[in-house]
Amino acid sequence: MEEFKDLAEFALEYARENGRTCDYAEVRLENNNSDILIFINGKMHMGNLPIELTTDAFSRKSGINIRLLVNGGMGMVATNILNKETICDCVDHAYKTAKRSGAQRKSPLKMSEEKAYEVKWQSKYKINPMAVPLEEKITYLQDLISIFSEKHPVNFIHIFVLITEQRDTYFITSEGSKISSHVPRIALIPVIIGVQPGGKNEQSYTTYGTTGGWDEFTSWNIKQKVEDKVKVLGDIILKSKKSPEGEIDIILGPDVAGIISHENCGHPHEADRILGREGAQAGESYLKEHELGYKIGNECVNVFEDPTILGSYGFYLYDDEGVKARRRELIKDGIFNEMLHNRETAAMFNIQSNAAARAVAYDREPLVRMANTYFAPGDLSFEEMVEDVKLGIFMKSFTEWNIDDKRLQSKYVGQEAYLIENGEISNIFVLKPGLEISTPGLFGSIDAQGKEETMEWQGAFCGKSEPGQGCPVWTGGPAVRLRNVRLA
Amino acid sequence: MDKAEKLNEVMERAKKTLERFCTDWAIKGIIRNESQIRFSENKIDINKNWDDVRLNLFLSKKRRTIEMMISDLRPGAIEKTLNDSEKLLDVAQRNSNYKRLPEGPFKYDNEIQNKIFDTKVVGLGEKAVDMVEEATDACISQGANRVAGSFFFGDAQFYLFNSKGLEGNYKRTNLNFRIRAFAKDMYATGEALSCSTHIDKKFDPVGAGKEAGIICKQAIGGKKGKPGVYNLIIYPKVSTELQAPTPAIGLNAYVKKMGLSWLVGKKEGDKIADEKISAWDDGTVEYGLDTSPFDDELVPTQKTVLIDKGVIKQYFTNTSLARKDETSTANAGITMPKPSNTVFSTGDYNLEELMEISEKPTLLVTSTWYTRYQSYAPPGALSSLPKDGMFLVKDKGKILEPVRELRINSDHFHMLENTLALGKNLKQVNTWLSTSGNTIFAPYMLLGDIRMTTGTK
Repeated sequence: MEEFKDLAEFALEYARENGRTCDYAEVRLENNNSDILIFINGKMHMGNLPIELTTDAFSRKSGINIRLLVNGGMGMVATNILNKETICDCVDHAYKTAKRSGAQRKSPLKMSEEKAYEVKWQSKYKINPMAVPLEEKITYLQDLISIFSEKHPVNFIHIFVLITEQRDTYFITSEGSKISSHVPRIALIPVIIGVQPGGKNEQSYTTYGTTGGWDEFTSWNIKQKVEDKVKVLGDIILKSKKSPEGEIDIILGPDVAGIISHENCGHPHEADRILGREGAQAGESYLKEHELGYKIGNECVNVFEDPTILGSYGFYLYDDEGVKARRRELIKDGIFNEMLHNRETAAMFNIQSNAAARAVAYDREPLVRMANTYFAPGDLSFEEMVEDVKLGIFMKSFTEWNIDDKRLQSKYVGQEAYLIENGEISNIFVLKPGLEISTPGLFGSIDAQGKEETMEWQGAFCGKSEPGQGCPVWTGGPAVRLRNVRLA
Repeated sequence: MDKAEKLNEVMERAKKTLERFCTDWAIKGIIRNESQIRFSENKIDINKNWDDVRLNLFLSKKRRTIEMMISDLRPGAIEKTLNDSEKLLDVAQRNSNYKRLPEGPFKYDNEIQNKIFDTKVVGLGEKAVDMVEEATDACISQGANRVAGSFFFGDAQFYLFNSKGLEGNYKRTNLNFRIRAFAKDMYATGEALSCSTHIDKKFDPVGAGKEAGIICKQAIGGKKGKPGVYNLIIYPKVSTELQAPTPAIGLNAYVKKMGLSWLVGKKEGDKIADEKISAWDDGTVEYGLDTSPFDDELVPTQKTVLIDKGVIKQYFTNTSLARKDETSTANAGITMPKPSNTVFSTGDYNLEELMEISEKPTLLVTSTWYTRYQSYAPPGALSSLPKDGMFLVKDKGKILEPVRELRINSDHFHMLENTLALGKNLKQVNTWLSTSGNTIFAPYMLLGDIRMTTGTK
């Protein structure tokens, strides 16, 4: 990294030489390294997979991203050929294409006015997961997998993917920003499928992720969580009963509340979707038709976003446009309160960015992204939420889910789900209860959010952009109660 | 020193290091110059370019294996990465799925190079902006109010050699244009695409623009559809979500071995689809975005029939997973197979005729996305969301009534077994975040008895 900082500065200088006039120029130098270790049904695999779990198994990437705003048009070039000759070619290319794009636009792009920072920041950890010896990681995974050597009432297919990575950046702009960052991350993805020979099956996909280091990660006792999951999958397959019919109440566990906060709130609040910029990719937003202040749900509904949570998988202190991060209150008291912005979208609303610009590597453009999205805690204990449910379901986790590209029509199929009768959670498993509901219908059915002590977080990779960028995030919340909904 | 010389120097240096401690190794060097124009609201948002060189490596020592990607090409960085990899190999477990690299020698079809490289694409430059503008205008002329999309174009050179003394190189150009049209009614949308390796061969961004605009206009005023069971007529790109995952993923020998497939328990000779369905993996298709003269093991590409008249003919494989007395189907990925172009059989019908012959309530589905599985295990139960214009076919197709908010709920077996008719023409599709993940060539298809659901609140 250090040896190429001069080259990054050269790129920024060169962009402003020889009569070139940039409205804005930025250079982002990055090292992106990752090691991915996989065990498939107990056998070690150090390579790519044909399903969407990994990209490059072991990768060492280093390169520069240059973005130039010229006459209201944006050009970007990414290269890993780090010499002056190539950098000059890249800047020339970015300048030329930006200018041509600007000529095509009737309304010029702008960047919002922001303070320029000179700062170094990093995530807080004791043990860098990239520095942990492979032997230790293998031992850790083998211990987890030993769960399957015991006899179980159903068969299991299992894949464990351990991703350790490190992103180091040096970011400079024509406005004087000079920001260095260092963030190692670790994530574990267990994919477990319980199969009854010739009968039912149930698949679980979980992500545990943190920027808090190997020490934080190993303190989570994930083995116990996996053991519990294995037992529950067997129980679901062998014991679950059909869902109740008619209108019922549903209590969503933090896993389900978290994914809903991300899909039904975080995504539609992304300003680039609202403005149409993701129209051909991740889609637009139903909020395109509404102004801030629009009533989305009941008054008790609060969904927030916060990149600055220490140890979180989506942690950062400055975004990839150099804006200082802060908490964003997307839905406040049931009202459309705030969007997620980068500098480009903020300028269109004539406001300041709230630091949602993220890129996952040097070869990707910074886009409006979530970090850690969650239902804010409410007033009720879990017991209080359950006690006045006459007939309902406690949906603790989910399996299949999807949502339309306007983020209006969503579906969540419960996995670990229990019947609630007369104010008590029974030990009856409900088979795949399907909640198929619109976003206003969902937020308009919520009447309670659990207390802070019931908050839990899950890791995830948020997919967006083209080429795709799997962005590390947390989703979370307390338990959330829906009243009078009908299962699909 | 040009990029090819630089890459060659880096590859030779890597080779010397790998020869020191690997029993088998393979190096793939890639030089890429690719651009993307992203546009929305009828305007260009950003013009991107990637100018890069990278190495994909396969290392094996006593059947312990690693796959790596290196784009940090500083001599010291490569040495360090490779030295670290030696330590990784020493502590890794044996990979029981890896046996060997193929022995060769092989003869490659020189004609394939001409099928996948077009110098006009290399020199496209700012003309690409004109193409975006022309397609946008065409889309608006058909009734769209707003247009968004993406145009990828560029070229890549691939250089491969391995420890068996095999070597080869090729270059490929790509054109991938996708356009989405929006009406004033923001829920009325249409999407279309056009892909090729050659600018004058089956590449038609203006045609895609018109198609997207027409679908969008027809979708205006759509009402919430009624849940129930319908026949579906699906556009070729819908097959990347609903039909292609079986030949492109389910019939991967490695996926089968992992147990992560809805085809677990199925073997060659088993019937999994209607007899109208045949599908093959074909790395030799003219203008195919996943066409190449050879795969990552340097085995010559070929056409491999995977499903023959509804029956599993074979799983596609690399050398290591090929069964005794069989060879690779030219689908490496070194540690595991990977598909090239998935091609489906065709039938006798055009789109209008498919609408005429469908005997039950029928929906015309022009695109879908966000396909999610309840489980990869059999039967591969999934749901998928129609994204753009969806129409209730009335009066044998004379009337197309736009409908919305319906979700496809099915599984791969059901959809393959209930394929009632096929269109007569293939279209190349390679699209954003598709479930099959590769290039497919598919016709329109008529599927029977698909359950459609909708939100309850």
